[in-house]
Amino acid sequence: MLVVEDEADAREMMREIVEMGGCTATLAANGVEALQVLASLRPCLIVIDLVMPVMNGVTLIEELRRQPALAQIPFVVATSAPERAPAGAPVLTKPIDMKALWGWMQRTCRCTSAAPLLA
Amino acid sequence: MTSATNVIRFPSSPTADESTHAGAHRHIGREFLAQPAQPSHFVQFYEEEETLFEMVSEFFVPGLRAGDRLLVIATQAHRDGFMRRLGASGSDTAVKSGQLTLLDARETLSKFMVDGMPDPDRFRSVVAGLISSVKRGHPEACLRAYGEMVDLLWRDGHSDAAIRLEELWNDAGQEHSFALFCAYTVGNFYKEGNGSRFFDVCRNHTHVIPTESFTRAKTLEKEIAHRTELEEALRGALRKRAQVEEDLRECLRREQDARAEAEAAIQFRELFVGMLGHDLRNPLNTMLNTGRLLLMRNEVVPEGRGRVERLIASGVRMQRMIEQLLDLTRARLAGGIIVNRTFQDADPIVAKIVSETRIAHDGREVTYLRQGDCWASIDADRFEQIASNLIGNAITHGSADKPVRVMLSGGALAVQLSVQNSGEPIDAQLLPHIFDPFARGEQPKGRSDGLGLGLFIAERIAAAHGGGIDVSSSTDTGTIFEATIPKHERPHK
Repeated sequence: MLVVEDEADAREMMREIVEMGGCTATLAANGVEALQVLASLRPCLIVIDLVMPVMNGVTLIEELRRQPALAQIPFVVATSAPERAPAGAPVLTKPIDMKALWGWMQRTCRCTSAAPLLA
Repeated sequence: MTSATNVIRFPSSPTADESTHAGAHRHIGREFLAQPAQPSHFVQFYEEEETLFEMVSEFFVPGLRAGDRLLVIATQAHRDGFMRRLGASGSDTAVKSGQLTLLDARETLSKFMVDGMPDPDRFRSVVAGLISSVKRGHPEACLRAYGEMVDLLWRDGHSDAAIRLEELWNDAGQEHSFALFCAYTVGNFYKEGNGSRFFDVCRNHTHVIPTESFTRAKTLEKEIAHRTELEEALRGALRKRAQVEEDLRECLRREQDARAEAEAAIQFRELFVGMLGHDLRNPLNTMLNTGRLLLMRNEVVPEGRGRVERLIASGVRMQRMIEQLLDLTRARLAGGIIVNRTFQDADPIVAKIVSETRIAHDGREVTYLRQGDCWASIDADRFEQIASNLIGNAITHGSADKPVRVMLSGGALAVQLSVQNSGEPIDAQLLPHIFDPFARGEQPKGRSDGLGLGLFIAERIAAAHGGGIDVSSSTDTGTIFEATIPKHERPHK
């Protein structure tokens, strides 16, 4: 999983939740960092915060959709303001509900390592 | 003597104030003419003959009615004018009956003029004969006489003779009782040398009735004075009104400023609350999830688990309050609560909340009944909030020993969620305001999980779905909240 979140504590918490769900988390603090990661990594799911410095979530999603190599990677927008998410983008409402995140991981994980805690 | 105040009593200045009275719009002297003093010898100066006819008519008509004896010594033209005026008052009959006697002025003059001056003896004799003739059969009757022999003499240039004749009439007044009306055309006195004699004429009369233009002038003067006063009062009123208008404008400006300030303050406060809510809940979420992870990973010593659970429970309460504040802000500032509706069954949502409530409030009985087709176009999270807030409210305010009854029923057009609890009914005064923000009834003892926004938010969510919430409360039926949400479309089969 790739977690794109500018707030360090929240980012770290997300990493732990992902790991508790049986997956590995790679972290990025903004859209630019995320694109750098994606140059060499194909995560099963990208969790994207909307409001971030340098490159925000909306721009990152536009980039993902624009680049054919990235367009197929599932992503979910983590936001407390779902109405601000780009049209058609799936939303994981903040505050993050652990079970909801694990649900997303379970649905998108290709390596089937996710979900032992969901049973 | 009459106390008439609308004629000038002589001797006095013709411009004296007593010649006028407040509000006089008519030729002054009319009241005096209607009831002249007996004896009196008054003079009317006139400009137009029609005015003279009118004044003589004013003098004679009341006399005719009162049965007075009337005598006219005038020119033919003036006699005709008087009779025309008096026609409707029975003058012809009066002439025939002898009540009114008409004599020619020049002919009468000729009876006592000697060498261009009136002869006193002849005058006395003529007057005595006339009065005797006119009052024959009516010795006690009043006599009203009109004469213009003096005017004829003056017109003929015999002003001394005219003055002398006036004096003789005054002498006659010592012997006979009459009201004598003399008249002069005022033009007589515009002739060179005659102006100074005007006062000699006045001095020989008991009362003077000024010309119509004098009366009009006095009336006009009064009117001008009156209008000047009115104008000044109007200016004062306008000044006052301008001041009042300025004060009003100032008040309006202040009110607008105050309103703008208040609106800005409200907007700032609500934006502040909204931003604070967003900024607070993310770190709070991090704290809560970290706490949960600690427990899940068994990273807490056994005796510390209770403390971490307390941290999480308090954090959850705080989270709920923040969510309510955010919803309040959305409802009041951001154009209302937004709902993302999908067509789904409302039953599992309500069942889940009922189940959670039973777990959270062990010992409280919560019944749940579902009827009919409960599929509707709803925002699941928001509908869950309605159910959670209404059921939570019933738990908080209902009797602990009585069940909370939850019923979900589907009709043709809407689904209805009904939540009933027993216990003290809601105060009748509070009921109309029950959905206002922070409108809390009496709070039961113990901790509160909200800010008094639960019902407000539930109602706003129902409204955002195109529905609403009704409430009724009584001792017999308890308190019932009924949320009605339109289905909007039929379920796909």
